[in-house]
Amino acid sequence: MILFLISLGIFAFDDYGVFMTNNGIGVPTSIEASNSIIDEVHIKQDTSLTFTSQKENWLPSTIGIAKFQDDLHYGNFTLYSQEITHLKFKKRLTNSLQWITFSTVVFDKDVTTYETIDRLIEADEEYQYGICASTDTIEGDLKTATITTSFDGMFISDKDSYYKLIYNYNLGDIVSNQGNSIIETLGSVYPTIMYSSTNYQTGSLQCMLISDTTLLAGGAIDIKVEKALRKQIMTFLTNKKAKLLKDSSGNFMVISIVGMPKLTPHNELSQQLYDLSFEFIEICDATNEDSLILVDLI
Amino acid sequence: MALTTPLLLPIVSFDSTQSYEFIFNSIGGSQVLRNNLEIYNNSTNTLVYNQNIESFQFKHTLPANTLTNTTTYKARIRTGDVYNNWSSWSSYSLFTCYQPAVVSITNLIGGIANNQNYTFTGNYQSFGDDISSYLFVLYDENGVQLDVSPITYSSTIEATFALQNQTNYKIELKTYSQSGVTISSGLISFMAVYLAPIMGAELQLTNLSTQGAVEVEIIAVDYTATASGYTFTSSEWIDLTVSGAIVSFVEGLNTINNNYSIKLYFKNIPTSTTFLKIISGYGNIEISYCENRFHAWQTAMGLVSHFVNNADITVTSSDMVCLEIKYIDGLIDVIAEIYI
Repeated sequence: MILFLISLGIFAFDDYGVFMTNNGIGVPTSIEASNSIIDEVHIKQDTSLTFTSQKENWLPSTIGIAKFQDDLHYGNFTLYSQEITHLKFKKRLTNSLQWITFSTVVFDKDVTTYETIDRLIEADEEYQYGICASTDTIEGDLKTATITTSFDGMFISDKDSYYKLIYNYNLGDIVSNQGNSIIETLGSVYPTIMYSSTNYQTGSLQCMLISDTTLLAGGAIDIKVEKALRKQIMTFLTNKKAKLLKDSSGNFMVISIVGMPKLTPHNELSQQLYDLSFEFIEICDATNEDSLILVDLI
Repeated sequence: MALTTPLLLPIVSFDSTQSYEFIFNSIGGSQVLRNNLEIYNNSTNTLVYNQNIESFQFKHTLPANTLTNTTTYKARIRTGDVYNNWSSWSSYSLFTCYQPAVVSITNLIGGIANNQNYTFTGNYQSFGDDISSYLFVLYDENGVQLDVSPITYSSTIEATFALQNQTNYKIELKTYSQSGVTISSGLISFMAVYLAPIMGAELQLTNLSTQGAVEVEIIAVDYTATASGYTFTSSEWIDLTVSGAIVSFVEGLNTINNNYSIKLYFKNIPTSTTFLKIISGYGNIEISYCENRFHAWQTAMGLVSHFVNNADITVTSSDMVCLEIKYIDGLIDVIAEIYI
């Protein structure tokens, strides 16, 4: 039986002009437009926004906006009939003109949220981040936002993993190494100093290794997790790959581990916790994209 | 003190229609007061120029149009002092006169580069002194050098630079001839203008202070509608007025949880004809316009319900209307307004 209800007379509902039945069609599977000339279609999930005849930009609740600028796309790109293949994540210090592309992801039409973690940051610096949609041949215009970074402690990381070294951490002297040679000649009162282009930093670091599990356990040491953490970090430190070392005081460098990383047990704790110490040497410019690619940090 | 033998510096090919300074050096000996330059046609060995110049300077200016282009000559010089003593002749230096090549950039029509990675092409019109190598130099609009192409030894003159959209630049082609002459196209101003994808969503940045990192997130959506019988007009509108013309949106609708809104900006709205249809597995909603109201007819689970906007709105075929259909828990809010 088909019940036919019309919102007239006493059945009318003041706000909606509607007969109060909520036998709705539910979530649509398709929306079809015809018999008109259309400028724009905006589909969104949020129905609480006050009506405005002004065209709205992309909202968090937006499903799609079709602008019909010579194509049938209804995403949040203005594509000019081009095909997106990649999204490029870029950044720069706001006081620098040099952009670094730190991540490139393949664009998938079935994926709508893209996120990436950038560990190549200095503490308390203002960065401008940008994302551009790229075709095979063209990088799109950058969509940008700015953030001031903030963190405490010391971190050592590579492209895939990171370790926070914060407990009892003791950073040794940071030495700037610049090659030079003093030449004393018989005919001169003063020597001649020759400098090489070598210029890098070296240092050492010591800290106590404690897992998050032990920290949250209120005094009890999780021996199994501590053992796994020690194994992980020693594997990480001896994998011969470049690493990023940074701390809240502003140290920020690409390093290699040199010498012999060392684990020293706390015998008073029955060897359940260990101190970690290692030496490092700076190997390239942490702000240069080509160098970072070369050492596999981006 | 006797005069020492002068040294005639290497002579770069030059245009014989222009004057040219022959530079020489004289080390030690008496003070040089005059010099004497001789130029011979190299193929006939005939003397074509022989002049003295009274000067302390170590140069001898050859007047324009003394020699002939595309001819090879040899030159030598000697110096004289106040006592009319002459030095020995320098060694001969060989050179050829050429009309300078004309260098130009050939593909900046209208001063526009219409691609992000733009390949500049150049032309080298030779008058005997062929090209040896070239390079392109890219400058910003203030003449600050931004990039330079590798020196290329090829007869095909081209180089590619990455350009920022809507940005003014200058480009220069520098060529080196086989006789060592540098010729420039000069700095040519142009603007990079091209169609590049633009993202509409905002970038979300989060400080991950416990990880010493920043999380970067963006929503990137590229859905495509399907359509038939349509035409685009003015790169702004889709015309669906032809019988059977339709555009359908399917992608992304499965992300709707419950309620939703569809906002249309459109014109040429028919009377008593469905122009928007929302379809689900439980039924459909048909939107039409008649009797100065927009109507939504919802047919769901065998029930039909009817919703209209709450105020009369008179719409002509040329009026542009903003219509919002809000689906809220099975009820439909219809709101319409004429916009300019």
